Amino acid sequence: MRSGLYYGWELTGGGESRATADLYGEMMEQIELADHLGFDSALIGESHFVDGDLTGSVVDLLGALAGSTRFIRLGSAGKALALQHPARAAEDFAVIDLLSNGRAILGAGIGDSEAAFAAFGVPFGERRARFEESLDFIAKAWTSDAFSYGGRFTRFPRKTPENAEQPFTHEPYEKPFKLQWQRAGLEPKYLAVTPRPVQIPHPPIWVEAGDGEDVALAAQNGYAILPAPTASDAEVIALYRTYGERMAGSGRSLAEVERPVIREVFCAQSREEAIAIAGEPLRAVYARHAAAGALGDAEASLDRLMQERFVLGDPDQVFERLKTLQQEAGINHVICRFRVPGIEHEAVLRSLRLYAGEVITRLRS
Amino acid sequence: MEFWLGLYGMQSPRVHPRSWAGLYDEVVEHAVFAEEVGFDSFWLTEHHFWYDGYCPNLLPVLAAIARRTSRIGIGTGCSLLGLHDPLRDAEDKASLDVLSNGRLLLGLAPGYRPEEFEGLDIEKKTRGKRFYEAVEVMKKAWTGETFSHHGEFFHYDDLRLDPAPLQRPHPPIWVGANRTKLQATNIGKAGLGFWEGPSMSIELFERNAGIYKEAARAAGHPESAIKCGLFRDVCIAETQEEALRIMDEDLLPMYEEQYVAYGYVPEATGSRREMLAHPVFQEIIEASFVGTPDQIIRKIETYRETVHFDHFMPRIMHISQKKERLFRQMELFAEHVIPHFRGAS
Repeated sequence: MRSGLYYGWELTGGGESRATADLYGEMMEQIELADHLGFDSALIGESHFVDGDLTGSVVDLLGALAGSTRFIRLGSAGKALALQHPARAAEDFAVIDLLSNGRAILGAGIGDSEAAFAAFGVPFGERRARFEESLDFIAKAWTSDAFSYGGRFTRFPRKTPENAEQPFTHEPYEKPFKLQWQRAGLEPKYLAVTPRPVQIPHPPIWVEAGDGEDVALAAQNGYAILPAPTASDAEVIALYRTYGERMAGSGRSLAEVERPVIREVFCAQSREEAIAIAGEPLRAVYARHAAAGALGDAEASLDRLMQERFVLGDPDQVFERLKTLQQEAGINHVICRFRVPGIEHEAVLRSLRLYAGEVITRLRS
Repeated sequence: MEFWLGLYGMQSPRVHPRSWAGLYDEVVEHAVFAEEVGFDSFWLTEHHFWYDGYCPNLLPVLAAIARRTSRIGIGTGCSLLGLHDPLRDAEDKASLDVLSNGRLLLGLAPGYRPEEFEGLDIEKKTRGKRFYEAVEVMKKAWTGETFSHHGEFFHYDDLRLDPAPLQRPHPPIWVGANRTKLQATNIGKAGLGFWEGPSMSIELFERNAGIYKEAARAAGHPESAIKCGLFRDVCIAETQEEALRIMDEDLLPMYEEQYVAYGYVPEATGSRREMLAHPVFQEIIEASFVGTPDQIIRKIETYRETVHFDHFMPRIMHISQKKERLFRQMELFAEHVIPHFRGAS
């Protein structure tokens, strides 16, 4: 099983008062250390217009890390594709893939923030349909030379009729730009999204999965799922069971795909120390989630959270707990959130080193 | 006087195909070297859907450069605002300014290539008006305060950007000028920096910079906001002969390929000499700064006697990507030209 790092929602919060430049700097230092220590991935959740989340521009953060790391894979998590033209996301992640020489992961989702949809002027009610079309467009853009796309929301180029056969012939596009491409010695069929990514056939797409519809979409296309970070272990197990059935139903094998999960993890010399450092900061984060309705109040006590969601302990305990989850859910990639508001940078670095020294290799074998 | 090094687009041109991943690797290395030899900033350039893979998003690449350097400014030359969502742009640029510790410089332009507007499903003919409204939206967002905006093209209610840019009130803004009096007037009215492109003659620069300054003063902008930058293609070498060779091997082939692809000139059927006799090439040959360090210094001084400017961008990166030659030119420029103008204003 592979191991990664996750950053999402509150980069700061709960009364913590920190400069954004310092928080970005610490996050990047942690990921750069993780690159040296042999972690497999780092994912950053995209969030818009929520105070303290600070991750509206995941592409910038991934770009910076692509320049400063060598081996670790770099991805978004739950990026709401419906909020922008899908050609832009295809371009952005191709650039990340090129900058990192083939390490990009596009973690995407339908999006759940009505405020973000309102801000970007996209109808919230159309979010699933737009997400599905965006995924379809992006995969085509990454694997096609010049093409045209006649979707419900996306027309590429803009005068392409809906459901146009590809490639279509359409008078207005005879001039001027078809000629420009031809003069460059190419025989274009309209437009290409360039540059192309490094990975073949394209960077992996991980669909954020909250419910059966997400799972069905992912399984139908052979994409990995990424359960919501707040899901309990039992919910993760249930999601992967459904996903396995759907994959089989689509004639696919689970061996085709990566099976990631995000967990709250903190590793210390003893269980007591892990709880002393990370217990309260994590509980406070989940109390805020509970207040927002993401889980019930009863589930948000530290005891229940430790039982059902958090992985806090010494290296042996962390290993055993993750091993069990691996066996029960059939996952093969655990992406750990080591840092929430209230956990000091130095403590995160110690936890990373301990995990890398004593957990990564055992999980991998 | 400040010296900007530009413009990198990570293109793999038909006459000199390269690995895109290799180009992205190298651009970071070139920026690190530019910082080492003493350039003030390093600039990238954007286009979309182009056969050569022209970089479609500069910000993640500038972020990579920022993480590997500590002092050098990072610039968008130009970020094509007419193609972007101003709200997302405001977010992305603010984050980049924070993660670079306030080193972001913004060159902005509306965009002009029809393919880009067609591909992104955006009306091309309204781009001029949309551009200036988008700048207004971004400035409001960059206050870091809750803002609303209801204009002709964009509508927002009660949004607050977090993070706001580190530079207050926002990173410096330059606008890429075209040949028209209208654009010069508009840049002046908006009180933004006037950035002259590579192919315009000194006469056109003088005329448009004059129009720009007059419009800026008429609109009541302070003298500190009125600033001109000049962008020229540069081939610099120890001897003039070598500089001319670099022009012939690296600079002109770039324009030959681009001007054919734009459709400015037809695909060469006759000799190369016939093609280069075309006015668009004559203009470029005339406008470029080609020669020894002393000759380049004199060129810059001549231009500065005509129009006062404090920002000069040499584009040394042309088509060849011969690293040794490029680094040598960067060194020559940094060793001889930059010190000559340091402290001058």
